[in-house]
Amino acid sequence: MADNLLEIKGLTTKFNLEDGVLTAVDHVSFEVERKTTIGVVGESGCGKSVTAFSVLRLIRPPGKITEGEIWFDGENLLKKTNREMRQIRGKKISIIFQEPMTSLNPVFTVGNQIEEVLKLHMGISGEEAKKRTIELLRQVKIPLPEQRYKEYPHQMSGGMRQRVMIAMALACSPQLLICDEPTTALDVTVQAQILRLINDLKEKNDTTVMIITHDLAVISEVADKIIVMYAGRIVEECNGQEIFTDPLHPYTEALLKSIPSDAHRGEKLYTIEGMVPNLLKEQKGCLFAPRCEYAKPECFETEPELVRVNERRKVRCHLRGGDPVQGQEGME
Amino acid sequence: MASSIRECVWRKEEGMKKKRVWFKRRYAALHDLGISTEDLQSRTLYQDAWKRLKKNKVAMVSLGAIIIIAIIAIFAPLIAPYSPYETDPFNNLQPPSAEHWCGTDNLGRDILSRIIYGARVSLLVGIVCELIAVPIGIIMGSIAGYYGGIADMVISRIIEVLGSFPFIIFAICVMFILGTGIMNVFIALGVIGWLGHARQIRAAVIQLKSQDFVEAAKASGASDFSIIFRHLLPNCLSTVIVIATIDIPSDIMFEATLSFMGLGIQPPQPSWGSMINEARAFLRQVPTYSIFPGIAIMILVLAFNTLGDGLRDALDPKLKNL
Amino acid sequence: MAKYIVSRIGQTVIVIILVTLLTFVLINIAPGDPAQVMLAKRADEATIARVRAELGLDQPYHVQYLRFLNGLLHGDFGNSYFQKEPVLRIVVRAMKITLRLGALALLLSVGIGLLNGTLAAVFRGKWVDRFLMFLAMIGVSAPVFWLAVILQLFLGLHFKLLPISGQEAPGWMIMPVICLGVSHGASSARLVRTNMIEALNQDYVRTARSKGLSEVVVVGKHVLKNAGISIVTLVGMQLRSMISGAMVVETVFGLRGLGSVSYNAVTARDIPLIQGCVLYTAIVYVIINLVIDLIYGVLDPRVRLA
Repeated sequence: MADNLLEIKGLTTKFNLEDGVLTAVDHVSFEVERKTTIGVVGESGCGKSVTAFSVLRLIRPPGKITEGEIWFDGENLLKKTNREMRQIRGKKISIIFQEPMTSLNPVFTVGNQIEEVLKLHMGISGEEAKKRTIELLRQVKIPLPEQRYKEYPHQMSGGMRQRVMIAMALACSPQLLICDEPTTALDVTVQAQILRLINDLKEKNDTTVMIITHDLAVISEVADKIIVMYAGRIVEECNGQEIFTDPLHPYTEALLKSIPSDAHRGEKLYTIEGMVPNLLKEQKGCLFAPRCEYAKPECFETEPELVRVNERRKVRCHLRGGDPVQGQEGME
Repeated sequence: MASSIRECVWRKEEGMKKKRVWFKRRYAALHDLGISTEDLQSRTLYQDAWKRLKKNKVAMVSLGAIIIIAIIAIFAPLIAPYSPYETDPFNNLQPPSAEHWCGTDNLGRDILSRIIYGARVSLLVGIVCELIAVPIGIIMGSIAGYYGGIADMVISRIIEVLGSFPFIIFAICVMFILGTGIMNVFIALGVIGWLGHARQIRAAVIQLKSQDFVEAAKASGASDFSIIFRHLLPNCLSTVIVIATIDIPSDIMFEATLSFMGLGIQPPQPSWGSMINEARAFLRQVPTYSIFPGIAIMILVLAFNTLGDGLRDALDPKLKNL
Repeated sequence: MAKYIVSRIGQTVIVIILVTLLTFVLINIAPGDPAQVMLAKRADEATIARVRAELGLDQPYHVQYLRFLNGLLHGDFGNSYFQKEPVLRIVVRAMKITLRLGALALLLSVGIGLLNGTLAAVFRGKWVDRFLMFLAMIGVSAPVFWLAVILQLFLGLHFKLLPISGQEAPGWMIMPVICLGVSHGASSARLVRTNMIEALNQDYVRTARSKGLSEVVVVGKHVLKNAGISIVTLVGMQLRSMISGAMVVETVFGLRGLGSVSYNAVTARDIPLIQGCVLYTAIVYVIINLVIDLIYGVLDPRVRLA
């Protein structure tokens, strides 16, 4: 049996809005093995960030985690008290966010913000904390760390701010690092550097990493497992990189086709027709069916279940899915 | 002659045809995406805001109250039981009774009638002062914000210098120079009132002018004037509306304060502020004399404040939720 | 930082000079000849002319202005026409009372505002929030002078708890301070609430929570320093309207603060005294602005390093 650091079972998170109840995460289940990298892919609004925040229980009203279990290192996080969760955040599970400019407090120095974590979880302060902070800044490849230590976030570039966030997240050597769209707000050239940095640090510290992104290119080559989400559900799961060469779900296929490539130079860019469904309205059948080029009548009638196709892959599709699995996995 | 008329008609038809084609094309694009146009209602920011405002019961009640007070003020001669100037020295300082619902003042005048006529003054002050202050504030603020440099420096200094005087002191000054009366109130509020608007508009324009859509407008050859009026100001409009609605109660308060201190409206003209001042001497005998005008002020100001809050929430709902 | 301080001080000096100019202009466009006013029609032509010369009123305006400025720099605001004292002394004495009233009321107001505003923001949407904001609305909508009269009515006359006017009886400050403080506290509470809500929605709050910090630290350290900037603005605004409000409250309670002094000065057409009051208050205002901006510089690094 695989040694899973994180096991999510039937997680459901809902938002109570003015216009109705929005189910942002709908009975999502997956596992993450220790020391691997999992990529969660999907377009904006598919629920991937909400899933990540749910793991850390950072969901505030009007949002609420209504069902499910989140097993981390053998314990169910959803059963923990607030105080216990606070000991896990920043120490055992860390998260870095998409917008480093607004995610760092503008009125405190970079050094101060990193030291805060050291002080809180490891009881280190004073000179020792300063030394460690500078060392952390050096590890994330920030030049002249002694000087940057005293600087404020607005004095740094986007790439550097993100490095600071990474340093802050890894300060206490967490077991799990969640990266919510770590490169989306950065320049293309900087993106590659940050990804490489995350990967290097992961190898060095044996951290398990969850990368959330809408950009498939970001997780190609680094992800050991890839999950594709759509409208709050998992539509495809793949252990390994073959999802790129042999996508099963039509949505994944369409995503891959949308990536501009040299091979199709001069042709019209491929776009997925239609729009993300309005989750406030009830919809019958597969949620992707209206946009799917392979849709059949049965696709509009019943929603497919997430079924295991082979030992490495699962998919939620009437056409591509095999026989339903026996045993613990799968939902409903 | 005939040919030119035909040309005009033809041009008009061409224009309308183009419009129809454009509409069809716009909705055709949406049809391609699989969206039926019934799902989408073309809603402007203001229609959206009005819908939201309607849902806010407290704000709608305030709006209703203001409208009722306005009607009372306009039709005062028909509604008030007595003339506000009619004295009755033998019946002075009476507590509330059947003939005089709010009692009589020190000269025997009916307090209720004076309150009703006083509404005219308060509403007039609030609305006129904003009508003066808003345009001046917009012009000064947008010039300062858009052109920057010397214009900004001069205007900002003016704003700062004028804003350095405590309002009471400034009003006292105006009274010293010009004497008392309702004109004093208008002038004092007019000179001071536009400062806040100008500051807001200036800040908003500074922030907006560095955005891309302004660059785009410039690139397509728009004149400065048109950029300010057609692009920048509409973006600030909701701020302006909210500030104006919240400034009106301030103006009403200022008038009441000035009249209370004898700097504004003089008796026998009815003004809620001066009524409270007159009541002070008779606090022991007729406490209600001082209470009723104050309640009137409170209701009107409360109504405007709640409406202003509601407008702000309706126009910028991001601030309200989550 | 030094650059910021110097530039702000420089701006302040310019504004003060402009303020003196404006004051001078305002005073001089008022109708009436100061000398005649002072001598109150009892004198003949010759005496009037002599007094005018004494007061320097026959000099051209720019000379008068320069003499005026010169006097100011030496702390000489002139002498009151009717009270045989230098204007500065009268003004300072009156200002002390007004400032005392204003400062105490400010403390009360900021205290009420911070407490209620923060509570309302943290429990946003729940009944605590609604109730507090309802109270605040009432407080904002009631005129200060009316509140003063009502307090006089109930606490003074009806229950005979506190003195209703004058400065002789002990506890004469209590009602004025309560009146002013509660009235401004209401608007403080609303402003604090808005600022706190906005601050609580910022991304860095989410980051702070994700680091495992307790809610108390998140609000007390991260949010407060950012919101602190707006709270300093709040205090600044309050301070200014507090002085204004104090002058109004003074007249209700018969205190001898700057409000009554300037009002009486105008009625008596005591020009130097009016000038002194106007100028003095304006300068105090401008200095308050300066102090607030300097505090900004300390709190918000973006301002001073920009």
